[in-house]
Amino acid sequence: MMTVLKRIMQRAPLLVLILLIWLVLTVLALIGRGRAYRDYSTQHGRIPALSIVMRGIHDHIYPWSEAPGRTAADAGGKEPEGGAEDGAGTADAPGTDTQDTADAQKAADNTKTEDGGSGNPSESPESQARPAAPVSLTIPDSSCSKVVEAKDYGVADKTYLSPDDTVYNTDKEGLFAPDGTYYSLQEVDDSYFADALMIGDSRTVGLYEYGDMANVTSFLARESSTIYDLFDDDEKMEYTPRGKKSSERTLKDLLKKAKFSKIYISVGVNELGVPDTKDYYNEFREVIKKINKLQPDAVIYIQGIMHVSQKMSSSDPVYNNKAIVQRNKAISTLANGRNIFYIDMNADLCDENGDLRQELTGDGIHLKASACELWHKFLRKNAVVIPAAAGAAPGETPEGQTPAGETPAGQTPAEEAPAEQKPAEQTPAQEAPAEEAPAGQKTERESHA
Amino acid sequence: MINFAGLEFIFRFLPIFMIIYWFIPSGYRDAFLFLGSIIFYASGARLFVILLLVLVFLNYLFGEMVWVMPGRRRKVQQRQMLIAIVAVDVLVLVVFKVLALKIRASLLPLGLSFYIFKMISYQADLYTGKMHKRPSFTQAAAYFTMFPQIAQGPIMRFSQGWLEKPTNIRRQTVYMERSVSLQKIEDGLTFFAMGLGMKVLIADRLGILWNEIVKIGFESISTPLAWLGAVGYSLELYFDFWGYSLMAGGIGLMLGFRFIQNFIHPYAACGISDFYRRWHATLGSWFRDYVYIPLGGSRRGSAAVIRNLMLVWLLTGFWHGGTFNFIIWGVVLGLLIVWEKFVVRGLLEAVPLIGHFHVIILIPLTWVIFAITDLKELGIYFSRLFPFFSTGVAVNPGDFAKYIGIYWPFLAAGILLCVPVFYNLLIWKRRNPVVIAFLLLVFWVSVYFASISAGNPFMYFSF
Repeated sequence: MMTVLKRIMQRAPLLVLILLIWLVLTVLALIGRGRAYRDYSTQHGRIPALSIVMRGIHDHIYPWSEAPGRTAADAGGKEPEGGAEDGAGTADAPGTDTQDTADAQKAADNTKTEDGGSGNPSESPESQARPAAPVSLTIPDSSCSKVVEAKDYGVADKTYLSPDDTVYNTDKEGLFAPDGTYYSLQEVDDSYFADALMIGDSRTVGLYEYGDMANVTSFLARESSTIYDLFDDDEKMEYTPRGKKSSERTLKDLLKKAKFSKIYISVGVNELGVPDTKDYYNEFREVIKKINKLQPDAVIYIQGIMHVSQKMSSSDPVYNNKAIVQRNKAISTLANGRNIFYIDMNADLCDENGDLRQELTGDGIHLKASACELWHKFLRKNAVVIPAAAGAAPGETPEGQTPAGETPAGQTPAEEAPAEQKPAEQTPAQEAPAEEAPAGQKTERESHA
Repeated sequence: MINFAGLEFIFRFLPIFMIIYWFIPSGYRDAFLFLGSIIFYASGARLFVILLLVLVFLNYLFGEMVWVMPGRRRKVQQRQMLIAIVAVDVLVLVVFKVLALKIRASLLPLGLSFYIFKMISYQADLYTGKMHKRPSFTQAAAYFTMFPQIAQGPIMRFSQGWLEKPTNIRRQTVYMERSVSLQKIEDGLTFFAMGLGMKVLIADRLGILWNEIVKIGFESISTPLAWLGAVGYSLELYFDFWGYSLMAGGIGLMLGFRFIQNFIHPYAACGISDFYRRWHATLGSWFRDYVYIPLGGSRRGSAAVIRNLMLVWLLTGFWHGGTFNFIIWGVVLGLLIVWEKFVVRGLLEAVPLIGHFHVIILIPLTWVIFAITDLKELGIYFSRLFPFFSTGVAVNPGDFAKYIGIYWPFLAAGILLCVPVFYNLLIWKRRNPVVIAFLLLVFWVSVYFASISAGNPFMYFSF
């Protein structure tokens, strides 16, 4: 027996070694199958078991590892709600169950420091002050973009979609509920973005590289980042403070140490391959809660997912506009018109079928370099200016009172206000001083009048 | 399963097929190869497998009537049969090419042109008396459909696989049977691992570079990046195709066939025409034997040679794709070859360096024509390569540094493998423990990449 094996080894060493390693990897896969690798699928044996060991190496999971938390990459099937918390939420980010107490705590903090102001991002004070929470409040059209529709070419894979009649945000109070305080989208100039942060995936990387914004605002972006991993501890992204060199940071770390007045989130295209819309919505909601907790004064912009080209949308079961529109509709319900806004640039970029115009894209997914300026322009045209000190009582800031198209002179106090208030409203989450806050708001501000 | 670099093929189809192939009696191997190939083809081409089967039967039946015994005179009837079946084959090819072009690309059956070319060469070889024996049905069917070659070639000749060595034993003509051995499997696996590495570790990585350039938009790339893109795309194409051909050749070897060489170090060529003797060599020799020479080849004076060359290259252009850029590509190559053959021939012989310069500079430029199907976009790309009249839009001058920083290892590995000595050394020393260890690493790293990209059905792209 041994001599036969020896002879085979001598004649075909490469074959023997490949078979041997195949065997070892298969054993490892079987060992880890029930635990570490439980989220991986072998597509009913169509691909070899060893491939899950390989995918594990990629995700830093080994046969002897504990069962993993969820990442976008291993979302092979749906998990019960709240599963996301295992991986993303660590000690300081409470899970869904404990959210209420945390909110109450924060609400208390906010009431103390902000005299119950209307423009503040707290969720509970309003509802406490007005026990009969209005049921029929709708956000005026001027506060958020409309979700841009697109033609359905009938190719979308249902695995990734939720039923069309799914109802998303039904909050009557709290962070995501409108309370009668609304601000309108209006045009601003580039100085508006000085204390903003653009969070996103490769599309945002394109905006940074080609959108003429590198000296205008700060970016935290990385290719293939998703809503699922924004708050992962090991998901370092490229942070480029306005006009400065970049470094690697996690979102959580950055939001703890630096302060931003406006936070833009633009993700969603990579997640199209993770089921399903409802799950995406839930994760988005959690992310906004976390951002709001760390930066309660920041205005949060949810950017609608940019559509893909007709060629892509009419052929790809995953990356198509049917799915994008459904997801945009879901996340747009998170806007409250007060400190969370939904903006959607598809109206500026798409044709009558809602497909991304072919001349604006090379690969059907991304804006070409020469088209990134359109995004920049869109952002300038769709910003909210929170009036002075955000101190006006709720009823005194009705929709439209901030006239659209007002010049930066009008926005000056609004921008200064958060900066001046800073020391007073430090929340426990912001113990570290705002050393990295984009500086020079006043000096950089130039009137274009 | 249809993709040699996919896990399903490497760890499912191929091992199962090889084990059965190894144990069944040699007389049944052709039939089993035919059966396995049909399953393989159906997994990738679905209903087009019916077209394939119809063509297989048709070509076998006509072939029975076309066959001319070596040394015998050809009859009118045989000639008519040959014309009829070649016309049918060509018609099928043209119809599907046009359908794919006019309606939907998915209407082109997988590997159609490769098996049609094999069928035409089969008929022509039967007619010209190159075959000593009338092939049996299983031989012909296995030849037309054999899975290592059906999707992307190489275009093997029937005589390379069967009826290869007639020997006289006791006044009887005996044909050596194909045999399998551990030695052949090991050698086949060596070629397979090398091809897999080229495809997955070099070509697929460089493919991302080209995607990045498309994503940015040609009007916004800097001139250095435009050249980097041309080189990167050329290398991607080369290693994709060479890697595939090595895998196909390696599998053929495992099955007991001889190794079919499809790429013979084209970038070491000393001129454009030499390049195309070495690049996709089985296609080049097919065009030579079944188009160029029947047209008269180079025996009828310069004018006829130029006409034949241009015709062959026009056809080659059409064959690669129906859009106009492929016609330009073919015509440009035809003109370059005519230029080399008739205008600068003396100079090239005196200074071989000029020929190498042609290959290294002009060939990547012709690949740019090959890559970009939209003529306007093609014009823009060339205006970035040679920025005499344009300055580009929103160009980021740092783009070259960014991408060379990411892709230099793949570019370097690719350029190194263009030098024949490195590859030849690997083949020559393939029994050396260091080379075995290296190939083992290449194999498993390739499997790693295949696992993380293909293994997850939910994320096959990331943006």
